[in-house]
Amino acid sequence: MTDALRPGSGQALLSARHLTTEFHLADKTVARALEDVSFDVLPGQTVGLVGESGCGKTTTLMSVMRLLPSNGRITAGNVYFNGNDLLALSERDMRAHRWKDMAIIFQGAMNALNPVLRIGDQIREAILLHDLMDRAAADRRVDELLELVGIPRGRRDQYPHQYSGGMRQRAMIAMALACSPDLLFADEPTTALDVMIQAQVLELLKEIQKKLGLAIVLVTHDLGVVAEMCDTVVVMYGGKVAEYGSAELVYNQPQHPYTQRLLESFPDLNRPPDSANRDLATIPGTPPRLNALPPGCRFSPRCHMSMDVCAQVTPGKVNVSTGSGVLHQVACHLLNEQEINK
Amino acid sequence: MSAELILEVRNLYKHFPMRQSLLNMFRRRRQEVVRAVDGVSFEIKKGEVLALVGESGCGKTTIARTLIGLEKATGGEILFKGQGVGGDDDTSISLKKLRQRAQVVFQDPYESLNPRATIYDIVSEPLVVHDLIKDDQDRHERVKRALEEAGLRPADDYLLRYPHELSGGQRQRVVIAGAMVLDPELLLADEPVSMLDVSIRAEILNLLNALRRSRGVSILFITHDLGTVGYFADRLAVMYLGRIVEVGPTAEVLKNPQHPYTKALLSVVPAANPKQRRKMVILSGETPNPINLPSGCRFHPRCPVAMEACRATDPSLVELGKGHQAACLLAK
Amino acid sequence: MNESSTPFKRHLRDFWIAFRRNKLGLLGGFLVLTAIILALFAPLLTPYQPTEVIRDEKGRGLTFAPPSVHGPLGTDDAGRDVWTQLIYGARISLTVGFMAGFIAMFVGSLFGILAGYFGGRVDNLLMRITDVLLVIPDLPLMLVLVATVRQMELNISPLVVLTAVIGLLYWTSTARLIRSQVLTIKERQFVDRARAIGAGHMHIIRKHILPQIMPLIVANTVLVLSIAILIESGLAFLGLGDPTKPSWGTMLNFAFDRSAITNGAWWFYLPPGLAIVWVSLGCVLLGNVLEEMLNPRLTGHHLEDGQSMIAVSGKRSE
Repeated sequence: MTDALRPGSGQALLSARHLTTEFHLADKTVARALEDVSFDVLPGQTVGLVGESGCGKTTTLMSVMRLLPSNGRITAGNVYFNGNDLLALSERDMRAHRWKDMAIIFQGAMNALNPVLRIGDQIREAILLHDLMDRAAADRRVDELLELVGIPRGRRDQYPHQYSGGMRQRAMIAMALACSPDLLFADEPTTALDVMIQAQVLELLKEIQKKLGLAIVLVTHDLGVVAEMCDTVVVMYGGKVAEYGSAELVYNQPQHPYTQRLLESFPDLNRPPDSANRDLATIPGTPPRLNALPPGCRFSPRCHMSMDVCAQVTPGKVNVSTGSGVLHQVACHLLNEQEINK
Repeated sequence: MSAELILEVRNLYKHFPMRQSLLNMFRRRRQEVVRAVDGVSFEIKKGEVLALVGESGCGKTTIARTLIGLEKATGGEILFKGQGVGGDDDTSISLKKLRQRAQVVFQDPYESLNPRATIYDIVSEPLVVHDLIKDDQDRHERVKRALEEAGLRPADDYLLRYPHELSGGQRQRVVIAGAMVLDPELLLADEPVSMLDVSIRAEILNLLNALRRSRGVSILFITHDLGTVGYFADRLAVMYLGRIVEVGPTAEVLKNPQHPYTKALLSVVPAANPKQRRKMVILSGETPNPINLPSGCRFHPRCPVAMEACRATDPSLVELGKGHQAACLLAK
Repeated sequence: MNESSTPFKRHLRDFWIAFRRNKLGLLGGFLVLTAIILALFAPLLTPYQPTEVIRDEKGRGLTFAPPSVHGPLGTDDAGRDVWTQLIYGARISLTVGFMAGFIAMFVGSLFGILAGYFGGRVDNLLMRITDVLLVIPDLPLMLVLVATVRQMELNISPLVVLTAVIGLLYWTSTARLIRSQVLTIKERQFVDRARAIGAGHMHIIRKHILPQIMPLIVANTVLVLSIAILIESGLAFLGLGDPTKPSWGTMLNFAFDRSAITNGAWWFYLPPGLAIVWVSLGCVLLGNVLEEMLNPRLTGHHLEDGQSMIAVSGKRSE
């Protein structure tokens, strides 16, 4: 398992290496939305990208899919899919990869569905657009997909507005699965949904993953959803990876002060508070603006453990020695200190 | 905590008539109604936080809107400190007076602030509307105090700004400052944190908690997120399809839920720890629309433990001790 | 974020910075502004009176003199200076147009706000009145109205009658536009919040509705001005203007009556025609640009992320 972290390892389905993305803003400044982002997705695995809004979760997704808006550019790094560098491909070849090998479901299911087309027809269009099959075969495929995501066959000819939020998200998932991809990106797939519907959608994703051997990259700010779904977690802050590792380690032995505070600020039903002091932990200040990043560690201005070195030197990634060899990397000077002191 | 009741709601109904087609009118069909709130009773004591929890469409927001008079109740009684609202007799208070003593915090801090008003205009608006402080200097001071109390310090930096210049968390603080500037006795908080990021969510919850402690304000906290409830609410009421199905002290309900719906809701709240993944009770389908309600217990079509009797009997809330009540035939 | 400047000044400055970049808007502003300046300073820009007859050395009226003989725009059939008539006519055309435009805007905004805000019966009543006015053909109606008022010999200046009739008939589209805008604003949460605070209708309309639609009203006023000026010209051309105070439309009417066209006296009919085009084009350009800039739905949103997301998903579905 650990080997997957070393660059160029053969078994990863998707590896991002030192990905750096910049946006040219209207006021002529450059926002460095991503810097040196690296992570791996193994086949059949679920990886969670977490962080507050503006930390670069969605940009990571868009960079990997090469769907950045026109003012965005990947300035360094590589993205390997089954060993092929996606960033070296022509736009045409890339388009072949999208949907067939990796598909995406968005947060606003209503915006992504065409309101004047029947759900079934929209899914069929998605199939016909990417796959060479005749209409009859595509129709059969639509029925298969609808069954897979739990939409009753009778609702195939309905329009998006006749669907509830949860059903729409199911339709989106069906559409994403149209060309049997190996990798599914899900950008805040349950954020606008009620808890019960969220549970249904997450359960569906798990089932599909088991059935199809799909790898999932889940982008969300909900720490609960990540804990529920993910094997591996990438905690992002200010466009960089703060902590990266197996979900169990990141949640139970968080090393980065940002991860620690984030977890403490999450109101968890299963950690009932003592009634004497009910206040949740908070992180003072706001995330940095990406066109005016602080020097050194990007979290240092808000960090409760900040040292002199933090504001001067960007911390490198350190492997947390757990003995078991399970993946856990942290970018924090505190850890360097500890390592040195040992 | 004194036992003084700030708010009493008795048998509140709010039905919205559906638009009827001409054909059906001609056929003398009965007009269909959406039973958004269908017989709800609860009370809030001074300084208490009551959480109203449920999925969207269960009627929790309609309750808040009806309480503050944005919707007219179809039936039932709303008593504010023992006084009816808007009646003609001496014992009732006017709606305007109520709106001075009870304030609303809406869900969406992007939407609930006038984009063309300055922060000063927004926070001072309640004072202007109720014609409370005539002196400009005094009003200025009062607005600044409210902003600083809401955590926007120094207040002078914010007075002349516009909402779009602030972050989501700061905007929600402005909303709270505007609500607290009149020193209300009751705050109706309608999903005040559901649009915010985790760490900001914690800040706003802490702020509300601090206001409750320092000002003794009672809060009706409406949410779909059971996770935040444990940190914040004294009592918890779970709603399903326009009714309260379970109510009681928060710790008691969370530890020992009696209604199958509460149990299911609790089981699907993800824990922030991959080691604690539990068996979830996932209800199939979605909350039915409140037009054609099922017979008997309105939860029975989705209930994992429904019995034959549930089809026929509509259970009412049963006292289970220590103020814990549940509306289920199985609850004892 | 200059601490010393008031929010209003900041608004104005931001607006000007954005406006300056827009070439079409600047052109429109230039066209309208030149017309207003010519009208304002008319007496300084010509040695003659509009009714004064120009005479040659022998004392005869200099009729139909081309610009080459009498500058800059020649004379008409009675020997009056066309340039003088044009800039004095601008005063009449612009005054009637602007007054009528403002009346239309005021009535339209009032109806639109009341109908949209109160809804129900008020809305029904006001909108039915609007509908009736919309379906009656306006030109015949105006002809009849102006003629009737004139028949009654009330001793009102024909220009006042013209202004009133145009103003009171051309507010319908404005009313509909404002109403639809108010309908959406009314549903927004900050209006709910104002109600929940205890604010009354007047307060809500003044503080919450008006500031949102003011930009729309401003932009629409400029557009309605151009319509009012065109209508005034049309009616004056048909002879409903004041012959003693000729506007551009009246000038065209004269030119037409006195066979300027068959005489080839282009300098008599072309300048007023072009002047009308000049001003209404200016108004339309300015109005469109203002609407584009001030319409809250068309300006950028704080959720830039959300926008780029939509753009991206749109691209994908291509």
